[in-house]
Amino acid sequence: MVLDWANRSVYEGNDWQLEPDSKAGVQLTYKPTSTLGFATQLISRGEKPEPDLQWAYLSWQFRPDWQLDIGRKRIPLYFYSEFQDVGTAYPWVSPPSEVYGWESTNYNGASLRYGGEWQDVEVGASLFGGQERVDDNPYMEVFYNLPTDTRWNDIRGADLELSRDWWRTRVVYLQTNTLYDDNFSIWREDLDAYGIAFNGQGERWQFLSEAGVVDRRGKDGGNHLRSRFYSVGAGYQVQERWGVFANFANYDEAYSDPAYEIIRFATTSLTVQYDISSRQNLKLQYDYHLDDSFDFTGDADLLRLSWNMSYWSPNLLR
Amino acid sequence: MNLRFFLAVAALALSGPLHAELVLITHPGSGLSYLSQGQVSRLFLGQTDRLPNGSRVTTLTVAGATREQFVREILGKTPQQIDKYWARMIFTGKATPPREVSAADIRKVVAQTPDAISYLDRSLVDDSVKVITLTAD
Repeated sequence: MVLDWANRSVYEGNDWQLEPDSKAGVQLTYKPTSTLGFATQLISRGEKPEPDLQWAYLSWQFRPDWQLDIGRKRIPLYFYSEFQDVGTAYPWVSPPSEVYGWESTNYNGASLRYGGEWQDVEVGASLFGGQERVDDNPYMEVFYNLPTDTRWNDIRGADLELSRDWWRTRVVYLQTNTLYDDNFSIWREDLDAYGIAFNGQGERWQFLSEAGVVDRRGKDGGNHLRSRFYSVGAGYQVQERWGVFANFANYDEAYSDPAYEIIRFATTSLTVQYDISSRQNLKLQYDYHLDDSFDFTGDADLLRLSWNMSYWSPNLLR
Repeated sequence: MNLRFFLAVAALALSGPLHAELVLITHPGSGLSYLSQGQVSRLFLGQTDRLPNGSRVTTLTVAGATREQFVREILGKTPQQIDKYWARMIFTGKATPPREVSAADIRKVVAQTPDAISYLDRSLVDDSVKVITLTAD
């Protein structure tokens, strides 16, 4: 079962495994003035222990509600994309791989972000653009088992997030020109990605839902692959420290060439979480993965136990 | 001391400390007198560092049990919910949490910081700080 496509995190066989979901990260933020800042973030993973640079960018809050960032950042493609590695920030052991997993997760470029309020609704919006290059892309290795270099050139995107009281919603659009080189051939595509999320949280309950579409159109022959996916889940805080969360996620495809074997799979999961503290927890999650395609990965039952901890010092962040 | 008086005092002592009432405080020279629930939430959740009139404020949070009471009673969140929120904000670079000050020092720090806003047990308020009235939205 593939848990993290971008980093080739795959559970195989029947033995306990640490590598697929294990990770540790450190983030440094420096603000010499109230409007200027620098942030960098490194992550080391079980599948790839060498630290990987996730962020390195300068930020400038040139107006109270506006900020310009320049450098390397995570692509804000779906709701949890930017903090997909922060296990204390969401109710699963890891975000559903039906939604979260593409060949590029970071970019080098710039973003312009607005944060304000309108009619008692909190508004956040951004424009972002840049490019990314991943050699020997782990995502491509999952599919083709061949070292493949990928380029996401001319990334352009925008997102809008609204929230008030118990609800929060977000829409996103991204467009890029992609290039793939496996040393045998080179192919290019136009990629368009769309996403929408709607989440709710009360005192004891929460509801998370997200759906998206990714269109890939070949520049040479014009073949068109459409990926469709969604995730929906609900949870309840049974006691102060105990919570449960149930989720269903689905991925399927449609392709213009009938000879192409489409991929279709779904995962049903149940997570029990125990809060050691407000920044540290244990999660036990059972996943039932149904591969309804050509036995791409096969069906799987997965039981995972994770320990998650985040630490920050407010006085060191400024 | 008669028996009834003794029993009343003993009952009071054994019942534990009364629930502290938190109040918002600012520098005594500040012109700020009122803040709405929504404005307080926006300030202490890092969504803005400005008042409606455009002036900048410095929000200060108090370490320990006082913070938990503020989070629950004023922000309407549990400690887990608020830290999940801050994990998202910090690790996406969108906001940083308020500076944290010990309960023993908060009154002194607010008294020395002209644009500071924080909170305190009402029984600990003195002339060195000014109480801000919290209004409904």
